[in-house]
Amino acid sequence: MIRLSLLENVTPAPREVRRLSASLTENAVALAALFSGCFDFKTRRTLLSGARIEARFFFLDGMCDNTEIFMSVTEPILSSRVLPEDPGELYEAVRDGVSVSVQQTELFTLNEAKDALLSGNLLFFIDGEERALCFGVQGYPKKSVEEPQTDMQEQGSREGFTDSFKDNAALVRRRLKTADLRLEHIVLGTGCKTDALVCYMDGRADAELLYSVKERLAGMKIDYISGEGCVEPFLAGKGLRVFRTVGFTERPDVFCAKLTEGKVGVIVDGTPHALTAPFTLIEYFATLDDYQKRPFYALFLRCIRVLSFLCGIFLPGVYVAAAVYHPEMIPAGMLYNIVSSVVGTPFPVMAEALLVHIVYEVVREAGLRMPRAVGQAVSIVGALIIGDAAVTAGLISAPMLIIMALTAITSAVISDLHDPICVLRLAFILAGGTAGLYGVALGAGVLLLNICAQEPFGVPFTLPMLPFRKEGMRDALLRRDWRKMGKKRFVVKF
Amino acid sequence: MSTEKTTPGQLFAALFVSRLLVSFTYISVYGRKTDGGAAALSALFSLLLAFGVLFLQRSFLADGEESILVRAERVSPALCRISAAAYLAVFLFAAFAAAMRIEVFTGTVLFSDNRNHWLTALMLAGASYGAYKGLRAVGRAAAVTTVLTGAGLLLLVCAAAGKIRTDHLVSPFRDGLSPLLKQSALSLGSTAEIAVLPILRFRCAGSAKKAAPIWLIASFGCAAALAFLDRAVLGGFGETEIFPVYALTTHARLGEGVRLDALFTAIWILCALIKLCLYLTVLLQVLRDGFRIKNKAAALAVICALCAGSVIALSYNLNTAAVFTSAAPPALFAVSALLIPLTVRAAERVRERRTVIGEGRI
Repeated sequence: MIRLSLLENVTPAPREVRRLSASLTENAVALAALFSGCFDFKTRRTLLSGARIEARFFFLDGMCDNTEIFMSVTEPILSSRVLPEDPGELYEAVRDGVSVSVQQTELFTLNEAKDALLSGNLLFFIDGEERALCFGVQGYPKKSVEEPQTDMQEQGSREGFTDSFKDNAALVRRRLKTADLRLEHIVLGTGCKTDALVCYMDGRADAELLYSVKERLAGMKIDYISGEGCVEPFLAGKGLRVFRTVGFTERPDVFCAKLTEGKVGVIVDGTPHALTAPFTLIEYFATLDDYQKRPFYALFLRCIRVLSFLCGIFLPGVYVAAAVYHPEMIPAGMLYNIVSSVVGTPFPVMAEALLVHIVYEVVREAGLRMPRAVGQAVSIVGALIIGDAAVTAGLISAPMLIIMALTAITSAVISDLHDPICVLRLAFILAGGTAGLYGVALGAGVLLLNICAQEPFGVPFTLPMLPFRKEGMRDALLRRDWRKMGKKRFVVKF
Repeated sequence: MSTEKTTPGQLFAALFVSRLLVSFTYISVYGRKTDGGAAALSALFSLLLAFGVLFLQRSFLADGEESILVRAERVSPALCRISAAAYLAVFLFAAFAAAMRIEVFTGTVLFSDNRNHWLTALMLAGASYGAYKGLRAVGRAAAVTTVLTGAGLLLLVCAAAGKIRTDHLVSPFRDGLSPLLKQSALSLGSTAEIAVLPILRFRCAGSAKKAAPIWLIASFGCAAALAFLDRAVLGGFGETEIFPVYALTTHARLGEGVRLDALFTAIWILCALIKLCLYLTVLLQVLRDGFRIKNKAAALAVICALCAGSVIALSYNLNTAAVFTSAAPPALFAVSALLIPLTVRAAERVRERRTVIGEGRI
């Protein structure tokens, strides 16, 4: 991250278009200069056509599959008995017949050669020829397809995206067996040149939406993409927003479902999360399980999620407001218990709420960062022992601990919303503690204005409720039965 | 901003919430001698008058029409500037009056022990944010607020209905026709939202033929219902309270003694935010159409500074402020909702006739 900031003001030099030379030596020297000091830059010289023509292979060790190199490229070429003696004819013979590799392209410039090497390809140069052959023999280490770690579902597929964009493309292609599915390759970033795919369904995705997505991705000025979080701000555009307007998913089935709705997806190499755009508020409260279960239960679950979200944001603030400014709102019996718990504690109610909130976040962060074997113990120590000891010692009140524990559980119902809930909860505790329910209402009003103002890619964030879209309401809070939803093509018009 | 369109439902939701706040924060200092029964009937009488005003403004309310100031500009730039200046004064006062109501409310009911102005200042800041974000954001937020307000009103009616005493009710004509007419004028005069329509109607895509009458009926219907409940539940006590509707909510309880006034007041705070957002949006539109001022941030900063400064200056004399903000609206309503639209329309007709005559001569 420090490197990123140092390089912020550096304008990258314009790319020089240097064509490949007919001299093999010159090309070899140029490539060696580009990769000087790189231990994995390898080259193999060979003589073809009865030792009359010199040729070389170039590759980055560790990025290529050696077996694939041998089987599809080097063995057919080197074992071929009859090869032309003219460099041009030899090149064409190798290109059109000798090599059995199915992933084969031609290169004409040094930059293309460099990029191809960096992508794990094998390059083949012939002395006397200004072109080079590029063979796709990638074999870099990568994770296999596993169960997703973040999008947990009860039913449905157990496959999740991997770090390789090619594998992810295959996972998508396997689910959407239609020629309308488009997977356009792009390169992101000014320095890292990360491979990415723009995915959409031709005929369903809005043309303007697609253009906007591509334009924003093309305008990404970033040196290194460490994850999907680096891409999201460029895709989302300018503006202060509390909630994300670009969706993330680790699940190919969810990704495909969003593509069929006319959305545009982006798969980035090196990250198991794919992005979808645009992303509306209601999507936070929908999971894949909703579509596997009966509609009435899906409605119940979505209502639970909405309530959990509201609880996670407002409950501590409302409790602080009621306890400090509006005790008349609390039933008498409960009020007596609260007062008797609060009266012995040293901290004001608002300070207590802030303290517990911060301690909870510290414990949560520690549980995330620690090694798994130790992380669980930290969580147990923090949550149970510290919390219980603090109440017994009279440092915090039991109702406050219960409120914050309940809030912590509700904020875990929608893990995607944890970040905004965490910050908003803090803001509403402050609002409630300083101005009571009126401060909470004012804060809620400003938050509402912020949500209503968001229009990712021109699509209202509050769609399909505001503005009201009848066709979109079939999958808002209440999901219609699949027998009715399946009748019409499931595309929400923007 | 000038091309951003909203739906009729959302625009009229904002107007509904804005008008409803006037009923919620009705200050009985001015209308102390007015009977609550007359207040309820006067709201219905004001509804009829409001329909009349809408009829007079009809040429500016059709779908596809331009803003009144743009049409005034076409007739005469001077007419446009004068109309814009008048609208600016009216809506600046309306924004100030709304902020003053909030200040009076917080100063007397919420934080009576500790006078500070930060809640009003924060309210203005929040409203500026909403106005900066545009009419669409305000309209959508208003739609949500309308639902919450409707639920709150329903809860209030259910909670208060059991405490209605028929012996509190008196004839609305007990003191003659004069209180009824005064109250009707005050009620209509407090509906600055009618004057908003010719300015913002063009930013609403779709027909307002259904939405406008529904808005008027809902607004004045709620006002009448609140006035009736106020009289029927509180009786003469309501007239001794500076905010009688707030006093009504203190009597509304859920179950065993759980007071809901704080909850209702929280909803009113939302309504107040939407109201201020709406007025600030109107002011921005007037500045843009009338004076070509397009810098939203600077304009909002100046407007809010003016409002906040005026509120703080007058806040030390709440009675004066309460009377001032209750007495001026009818005159301002007459100017903004009647005089300016009729003048612009008349000027357009004169110009059209001159053009026809001129063509006839040619």
